Amino acid sequence: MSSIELGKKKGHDLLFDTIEQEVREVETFVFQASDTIEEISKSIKKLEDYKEVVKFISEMMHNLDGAQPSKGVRDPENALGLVNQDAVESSLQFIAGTVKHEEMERMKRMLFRFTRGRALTHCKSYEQDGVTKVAYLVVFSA
Amino acid sequence: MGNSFDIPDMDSLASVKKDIDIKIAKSYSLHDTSVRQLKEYLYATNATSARMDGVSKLEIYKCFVAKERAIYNALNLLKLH
Repeated sequence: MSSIELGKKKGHDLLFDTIEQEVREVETFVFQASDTIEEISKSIKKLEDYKEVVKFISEMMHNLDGAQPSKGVRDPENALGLVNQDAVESSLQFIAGTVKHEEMERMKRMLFRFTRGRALTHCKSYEQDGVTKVAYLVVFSA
Repeated sequence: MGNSFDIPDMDSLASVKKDIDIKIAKSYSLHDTSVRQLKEYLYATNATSARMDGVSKLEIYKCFVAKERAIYNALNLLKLH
């Protein structure tokens, strides 16, 4: 302790405050670094989910007989009410994403009620860090 | 609940997949670097002088704080009520 006291060049009465300040600074830095690492982990998981979804969509394209989603929705001109050639060709809407395996059945039932049975739901399970997730693709006519 | 994603153009699925792979590899490398740096920082923070090699500074602080606390507790018992 005396060597630390000498190293900090503080008297015994001020050492307590110095240690408190130093520990507080270290704590703040460690918390910030941990948060950053956690954010990176989350973004990796999200990217892995996206990869699974893209892989699933490319697999499903063969089963859907080349059905393409309507491009009109993402076209800004269509949002203004102008007729888009692509929108005329296909009125299908695709929604893709991931959910936890145990939530999939609930989501399917919810989709069925909302779309009155006019939506097709395809799904595929996969493992991520010991958690079973499902990549889904919902196809419906807009 | 879950994540939903924008569906990329069907003709560019392979290139999108490749892009995601690159992004994942970069993110993993960033993650590993951050963890390594944090570990090094903690080791450096916990290290004492060369003469006291292998002694944890934070453990010394803990003992010091416990000692000071015990002294003040004992002093407080001497207060007049």
